[in-house]
Amino acid sequence: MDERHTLDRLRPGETAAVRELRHGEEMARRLTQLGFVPGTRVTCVARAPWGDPAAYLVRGTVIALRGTDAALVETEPPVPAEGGGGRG
Amino acid sequence: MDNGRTPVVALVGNPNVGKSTLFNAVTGLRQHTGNWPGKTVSAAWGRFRRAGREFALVDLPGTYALDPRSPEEAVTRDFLALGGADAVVVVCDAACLERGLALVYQVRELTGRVVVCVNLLDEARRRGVTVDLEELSRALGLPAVGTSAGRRQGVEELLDLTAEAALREEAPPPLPPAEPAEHLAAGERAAARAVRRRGDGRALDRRLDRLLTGKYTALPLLALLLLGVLWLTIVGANLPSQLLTGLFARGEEGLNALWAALGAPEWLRGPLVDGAYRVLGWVVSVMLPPMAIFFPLFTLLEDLGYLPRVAFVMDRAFQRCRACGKQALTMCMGLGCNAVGVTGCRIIDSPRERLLAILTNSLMPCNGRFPPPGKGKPRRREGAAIPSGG
Repeated sequence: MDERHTLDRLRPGETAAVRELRHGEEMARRLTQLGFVPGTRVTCVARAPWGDPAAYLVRGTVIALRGTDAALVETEPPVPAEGGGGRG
Repeated sequence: MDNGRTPVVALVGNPNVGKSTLFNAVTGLRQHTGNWPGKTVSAAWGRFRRAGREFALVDLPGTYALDPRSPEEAVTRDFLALGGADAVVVVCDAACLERGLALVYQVRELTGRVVVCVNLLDEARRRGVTVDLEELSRALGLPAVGTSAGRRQGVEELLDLTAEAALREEAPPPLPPAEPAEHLAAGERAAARAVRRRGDGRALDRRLDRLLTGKYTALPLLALLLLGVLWLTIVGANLPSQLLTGLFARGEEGLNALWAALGAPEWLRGPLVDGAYRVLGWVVSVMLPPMAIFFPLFTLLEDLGYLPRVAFVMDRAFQRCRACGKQALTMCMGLGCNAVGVTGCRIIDSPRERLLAILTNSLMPCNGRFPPPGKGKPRRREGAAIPSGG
C-alpha cells in the first residue's frame, strides 16, 4: 500500500511526477536546475543496453541519470505511456 | 553610461545552444565550438562595431543557472553581478525555449539590460516548432530576436538591439530574487505564450535513437562506427603520409647540397639536418595526415549528436571500473592525440572520475604510437628515431 515510487523504477514509456529529491545538496541543486522540480512530469524514454543509465524527458530535454541518482528521486505513482510518448 | 570606455556585451546561455557559433558570427573569430573536446570553459573575448562605436563581446561559459554556490556558475554570475557587462544577450535554443527563459529570469535579477536571442530557429522549424517573437518580447518585457547563427540570420538585428540596450540611458530595474523552481515556472509560462508546436518533428530522431541506444544494436553499431573511423584514418593517411615523406626527403637532399655548397662544417650539418630537420619531417609526415582525418570525422559524429549517446551506452561498463561513460569519448580522442584526450576530460563532472580519465589517457596509443607502420608508411631508417606523439 504505502509503496514508495522512485524514478529508477520507471519503465521506458512511463511518466511520473517528481515528488521529492533525496540527494545531497550539490546534486539536488543540479537536478533542480535541470528541471527536476516537485510536480514536474518526467518520462523515461530509454534505458542503456545494460539497463543503466536511463534517459528521461524533462521539460523538453532528454537527460541521462544513473540508477543510483534516479533511485533518490521520489515520484508519484507512474502513469503508462501516452500515445505520442510525451511532449517533444 | 560614461562615454570614452568600450561597452561590454556578455553572451550567456545554456550549454549547446550555439552560443559560440553566434560569437564567431559576430566577431569573425574562429573559436573552436565543439561541445565535447573544446567546450567553452574560460571566457573568450572579441569585438564588433555598431552605431559608430566599438563594443567588446565576451562569451561566458554555458550554464543552466547562476547559483552562487556552484563554482562553475559563479564565474558567470560574478561577472554579471559585479557590473562586468553593459548589456547581456541570453542565447536560447528555440526547440526548448523554456530552459533558456528560466536563465533569462535569473539574469534579470542582476540587470535590466537584457536582450533575448532565440537561436537555432531553422533547426526548430524543421522539428515543427515556431516561436512568435513579438509575443515572447511582450511576455518577457524584453527585446527578443530570432537567429540562426550558423547561417548568420538575424545577427544584424540582434546587434542593433544589443547596442541599443547597452547605450540606453534608462534600464528596467533588476527583478527581486526568486527560487529555481520559480525561474523554471516563469520560463515555462512565457514559452507557452510564444511557442507553437506542430506534430511530432522528432519521430525520425526517436527511431534512430532506439537503434543507436537499443539493447542489441547499440554496441555492434558503436564498434562498427569506431572501426570505420579508425580504418578511414589509417588507410586514408597512407597516401598523404607517403607524399609528405617523399617531400621531406627531397628537402633533405636539397639542404645537404646547400650545406656542401656553403662549405659548412659537418658538426653543424649533423644536428641541424639529420637531427632537427629529419625529426620535424618525420613528425609532420607521420602524425599530420591521421590527425587531419581523425578529428574532422570525430567532429562530424559530434555534430550529428552521436557522442553523448556513446557516453550513455558505455556508462554502465565504465561504472564497473568506477569511471564515467564520457571517458569512452576522451579515450577515443586519445587515439588521435593524448593531449586532446586529456584536455577533453573536463567534460567529466565528478572530480575523481575526471582524474581517473586523465591519468589513464596516456595508455591509449595515439596515432604517433600506433603499432609498426604498415605498407606505405615511412619505414624506420637507420639513425632515425620513431617520433612518439603527444
